[in-house]
Amino acid sequence: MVDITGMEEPHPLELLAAARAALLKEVVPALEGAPKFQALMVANAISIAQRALSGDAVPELPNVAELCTEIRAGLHDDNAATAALLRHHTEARCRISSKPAR
Amino acid sequence: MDEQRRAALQAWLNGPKISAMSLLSGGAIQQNWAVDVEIDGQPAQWVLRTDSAATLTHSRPRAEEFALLKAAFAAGVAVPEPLMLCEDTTIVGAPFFIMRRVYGIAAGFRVVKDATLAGGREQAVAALGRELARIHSVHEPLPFLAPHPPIPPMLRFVSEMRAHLDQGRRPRPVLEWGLRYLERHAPPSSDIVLCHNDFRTGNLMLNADGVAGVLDWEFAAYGDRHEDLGWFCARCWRFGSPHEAGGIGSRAALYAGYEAQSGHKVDDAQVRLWEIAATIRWAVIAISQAERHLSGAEENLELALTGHIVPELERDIILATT
Repeated sequence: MVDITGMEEPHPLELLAAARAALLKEVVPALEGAPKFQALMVANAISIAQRALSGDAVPELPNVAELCTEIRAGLHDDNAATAALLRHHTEARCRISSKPAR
Repeated sequence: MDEQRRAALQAWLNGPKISAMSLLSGGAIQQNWAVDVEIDGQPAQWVLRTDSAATLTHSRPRAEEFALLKAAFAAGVAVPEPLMLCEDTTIVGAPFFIMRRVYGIAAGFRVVKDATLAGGREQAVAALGRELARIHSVHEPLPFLAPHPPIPPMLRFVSEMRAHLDQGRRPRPVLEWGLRYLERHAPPSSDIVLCHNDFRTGNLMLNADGVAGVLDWEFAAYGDRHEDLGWFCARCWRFGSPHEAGGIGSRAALYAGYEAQSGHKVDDAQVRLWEIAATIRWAVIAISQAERHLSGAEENLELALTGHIVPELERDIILATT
């Protein structure tokens, strides 16, 4: 995480939360049709950024290009360790990109 | 459409009199115009479909789309009846065709919430199964469609998707994992039929009576009948609904409708393999849409956000293959 102790408050993450709340409470109700759809997409983009900035780091898998070549060549067929690695990495990516399940 | 084009269209129609015209939907690629006419004093409602001017389109030419609609209509598929084709670009600025207007609801999020369409959820998916069977029954030669290569459709799919991944900027281990799974489990061979290739909730117009129209023939090609069934059932096209067949109804009712109309037994295991394929295909399309934004070719928030559905698609692939 970036060191934020010298930054002015509210913290930029709090600003994103306030921006999203203002959008959803003040702007979206006044809109219809395509502009409303656009505004909801902006709110969604802000959510993704909030989760990315407040959650854990998500590094790329080590040697990912080689891993792909090996998977394609059949070297990881039925390999439970590889499946677990991919599952773990995918869950970390979903925590940023997808809305949390309700 | 300006006065000059409307006058040129009126002259080309040679009889029917245009009483009203309005843009129904205008994408970057195609435009659909509602056209109201009078023919010998009788009103008729049409849709004129044309390319957006100034767009260098990679989509299927209008003449081919018209031929597909004609073949589907002749086979009894619920499509808007295609009426006339004009390839002369001097009339409205691009080739166009005219079809009869159909009425209903297509938007996916609305369709999956509405339990009354087509007389109820089970009736709706049974009717959609019958539509799919009729599409697969089209035997009319469509010379502009590439013949299927002499390999099993699933292996063709795997090699096409790998070619896309090889063009991509990032390695995609989960998609590779899914493709390898399909390669190992690919059924040996199958009947080759005309597939719609985008037969999913959102492209299917329903009304109280049943299926009003199967839309969007953009991706039609020869393939395996289970390919369309898998695309329809894949979780990514259920719009958050728990109903496994397109978010609308049960798998059993869909299969029953398909089997009754086609006389072919649906192989559930094959449908589920093609659902994995559908998820991979949608991920590859989503990646390419995000890439259009990232490359600066078309800066657009919707395209950018589409990239962020990929992790969830990858999760579906992992769950189905481990």
